[in-house]
Amino acid sequence: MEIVKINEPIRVLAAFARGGIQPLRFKWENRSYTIERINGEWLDRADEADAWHFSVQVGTTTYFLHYASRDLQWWLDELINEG
Amino acid sequence: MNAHEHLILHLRLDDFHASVEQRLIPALRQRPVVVGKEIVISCSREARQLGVRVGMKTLKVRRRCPAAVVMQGHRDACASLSEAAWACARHYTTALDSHAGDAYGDATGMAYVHGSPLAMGQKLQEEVIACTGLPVTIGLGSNRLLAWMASRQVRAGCIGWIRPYAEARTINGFPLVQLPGLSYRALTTLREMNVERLGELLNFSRDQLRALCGTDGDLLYERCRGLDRHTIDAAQQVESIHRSESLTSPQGELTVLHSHLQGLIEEAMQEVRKATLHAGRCEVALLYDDGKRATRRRCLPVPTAADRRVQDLAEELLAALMTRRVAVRRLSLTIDRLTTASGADDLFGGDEPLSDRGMYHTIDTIRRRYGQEAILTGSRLDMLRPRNGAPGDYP
Repeated sequence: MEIVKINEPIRVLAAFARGGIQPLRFKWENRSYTIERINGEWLDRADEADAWHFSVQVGTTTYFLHYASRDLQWWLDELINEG
Repeated sequence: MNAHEHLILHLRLDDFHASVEQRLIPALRQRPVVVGKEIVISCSREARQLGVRVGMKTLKVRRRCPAAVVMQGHRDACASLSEAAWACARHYTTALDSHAGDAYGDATGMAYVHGSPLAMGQKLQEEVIACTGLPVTIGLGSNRLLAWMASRQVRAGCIGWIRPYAEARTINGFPLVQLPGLSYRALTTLREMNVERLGELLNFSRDQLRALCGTDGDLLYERCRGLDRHTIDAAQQVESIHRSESLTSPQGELTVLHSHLQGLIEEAMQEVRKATLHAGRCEVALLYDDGKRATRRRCLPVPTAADRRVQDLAEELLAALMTRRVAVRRLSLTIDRLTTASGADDLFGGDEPLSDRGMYHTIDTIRRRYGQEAILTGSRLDMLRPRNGAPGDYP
């Protein structure tokens, strides 16, 4: 199993509906990834602004994304490759 | 069971941190997962089958079980998921006392609303699983001890209920080695007397148990009778805040130690303010280079949330401790006797001026966002500057 820390801003296509956020697709390093499943999500209120975190599945890789409401930016935190 | 009888509910998120990792990363499901940086704080059932235990060193785990996946864990995800589970439990209880992956709730009288205790437990379990996706075990009993025993008696993911008529039998057969809070010394003393189960202590008086086991005597006297006087307190109970620092090289200079102590105070008091509490007592402890220890503690004149008041006292304590001509290797600070910051303080002025409160709020916000080193006090800044560095040569 390979864990890679990324911490890079990314572009995400997401649905903001019924008081929730559902990421659908994201673009990273000029490649587009379609999210197959959301494994889990959580809200981090530790900072002044909220951050919505998601663990999403694309094929055999799990990606950890978060949406920072302070700067309205999506971030790719890390990816975990099934080894 | 009558609906008015005491009913306490113990909710345990099984292998909490490891389960959260397995939920967030599907590749980890059915695999031995260990969570912890240096020490194992949680491990999955699969890891336990390979001999991994909580408290083991992760280095040892990596050596012994190369198949185990060691993760650092996602603390914020754990906090959020546990809070979601406790939110479900609040629908079934009148008060809830939670800590990490465990919660105790007072469900007395809730049978009127939700049916029998077992039906209530089942409904709650289904709700928590639907909400968080985490496995949960529920124990029901007439007090915290019995609810805890009930959840321990059953397999993970099940519901246990110790009915009032079965309480004595359960307590009598409960192994002492599994009793929480019992010291190793007391356990050894009792084992030497061939006492292995709680029920075997019923013939001992309180004084006899005190004589045998010291302070643990009171605990044993009550536990063997199924008594647990801990109440369910809905308010979060932070009892003390501890910070310590190992110095890179042993230090004997008081000014340098003051700087380190100030860093500890700033961190600890930030926690105090975050929990909207006031510090009541301060303790400073030193570990000298020759291995000897020294501790001093004193109450603050007035409970406070201001760094400078704690700093004044801590510096006094440190000065009183510096009686030996031996360098200090480790410095620790404990803030305890924490009291809640009451609304009356806000109305009538309280301990700190409003300007101070605003200042501390701003400092805390900046530090939370940009790190502890984002704002430093003068004395700490001097410490960070290289000895022969020019003014402005800060890291």
